[in-house]
Amino acid sequence: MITQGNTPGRRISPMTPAATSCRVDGQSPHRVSIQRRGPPFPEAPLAPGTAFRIRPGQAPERKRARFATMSTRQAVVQLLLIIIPVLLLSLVTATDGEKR
Amino acid sequence: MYAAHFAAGLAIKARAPRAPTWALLTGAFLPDILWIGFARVGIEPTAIANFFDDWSHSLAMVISWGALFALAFWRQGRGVVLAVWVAACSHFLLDLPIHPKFLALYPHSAIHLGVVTSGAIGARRYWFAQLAVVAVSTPVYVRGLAASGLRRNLVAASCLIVLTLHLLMYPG
Repeated sequence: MITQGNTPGRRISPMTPAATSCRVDGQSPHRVSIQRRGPPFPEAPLAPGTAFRIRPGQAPERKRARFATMSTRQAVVQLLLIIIPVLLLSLVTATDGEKR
Repeated sequence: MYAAHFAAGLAIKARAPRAPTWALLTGAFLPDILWIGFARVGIEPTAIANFFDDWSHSLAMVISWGALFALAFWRQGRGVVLAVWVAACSHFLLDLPIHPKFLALYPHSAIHLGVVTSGAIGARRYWFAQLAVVAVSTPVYVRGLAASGLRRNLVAASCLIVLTLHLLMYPG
């Protein structure tokens, strides 16, 4: 279980401030300490009450578990929502710059 | 923001008619385009709990990405480069008041800028806030391009497209 600060057994809450980042202190897999300010754990969005094991020395931010990535389909849709209007508006204002 | 970025791009187009529309609009959406890529590969998590978009949307990165993108148009003149860069930077200004998370000064910065999060304001109010931006930008565009000789029906058509896009995004 990842703990926050030096209090073994305390779970990291999903309410942990985004600027808080934890790192294993290298002495025990059950102890981590807050080392620096930074982004939230980018690869491990913690669901409420989530606990998981990490090896000593393995920073949680390196753990490749449960990415909150955008799906390919979502990405394509989002891109099309931009590209199609851009093309459409470019066509409509087709007397574009270089000519004027 | 969505349609508001198009409106801003078109407003800049009115000021810099030599700049290609596609470049201005792409510039206006550059941080979002990058965000889509970063979110897809996991650099910028999209979940509300750990939403992070500093690499695409922080002030320093928007300025930098915008400059890189704008420099691709250096052959078209300083005016075009500046217009494209301003279009990219307009993204930060428009996202500054309302965004899913306050915008960082630079990646991983402890300093965040913003007025209210989109979650706090609610989807409907957010939609109306964007409508206000569209309402302000569109006349700038209309006046500028009409004066530069673009046919009025085409100006009207582009305004209609932006407005339609915004209407399509009405929440619920």
